[in-house]
Amino acid sequence: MRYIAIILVVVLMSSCRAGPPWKTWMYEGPPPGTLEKIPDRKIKDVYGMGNPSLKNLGGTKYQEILNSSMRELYRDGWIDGCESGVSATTNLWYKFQYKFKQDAYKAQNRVYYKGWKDAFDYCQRYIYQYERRYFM
Amino acid sequence: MQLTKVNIAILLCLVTILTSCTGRDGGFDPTKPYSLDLTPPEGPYEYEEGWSDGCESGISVYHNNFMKFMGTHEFRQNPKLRKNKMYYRAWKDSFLYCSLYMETTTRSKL
Repeated sequence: MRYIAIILVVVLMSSCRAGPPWKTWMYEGPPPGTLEKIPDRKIKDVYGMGNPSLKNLGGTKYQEILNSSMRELYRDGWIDGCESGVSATTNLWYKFQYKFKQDAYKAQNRVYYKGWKDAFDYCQRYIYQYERRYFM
Repeated sequence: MQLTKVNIAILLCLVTILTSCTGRDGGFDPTKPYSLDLTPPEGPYEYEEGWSDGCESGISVYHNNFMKFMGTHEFRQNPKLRKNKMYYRAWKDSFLYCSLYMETTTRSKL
């Protein structure tokens, strides 16, 4: 009886997962090596989406974006996009912890939006597959 | 039928719960998942409009047939703003987000 209990405990413990995989890196930005490829210089055009009416947007936000480097903007976009992607496809329990995140002003910047879109696509598919397969 | 104290208590509870349903403007909305927040991120008018319209359309795609029949959520796009880049991009992003959200909610296991 005691051996059966020990075996049961071992089996149960070996099935424990340390937690969802996205929690470990989603708040830190893209996987290592990705950010280094983006130039670490200030952006030239805050709302570089080819729309002149965007120039009047933002106020203090405009300055904030202007002071950011391309690398920072891409990372910010990645973090927000990944949270949104996870929120879209994760299970009911985690849906209460994550929500749609996008900075409306920064989203008009090409670099931020690229980071957002890349991460949204990547994370939502990653979680979709993770939820679907569970073990293998 | 004789009303016992328990029955009266249950009735009172039901009435209290039901009167707390205030419809779709800020209160409980049974036509969408409770965890889905329909408030757009703070931003310019075009952005917020695009986000709301896109999400509304996204929800309508993955609703069950009863809700589709009732027309609780429908395709929504502002024809005047459609050519506005900010409006359209917010619309696309929230359409994708809300439709995926609805899809996974309907088939999700805890």
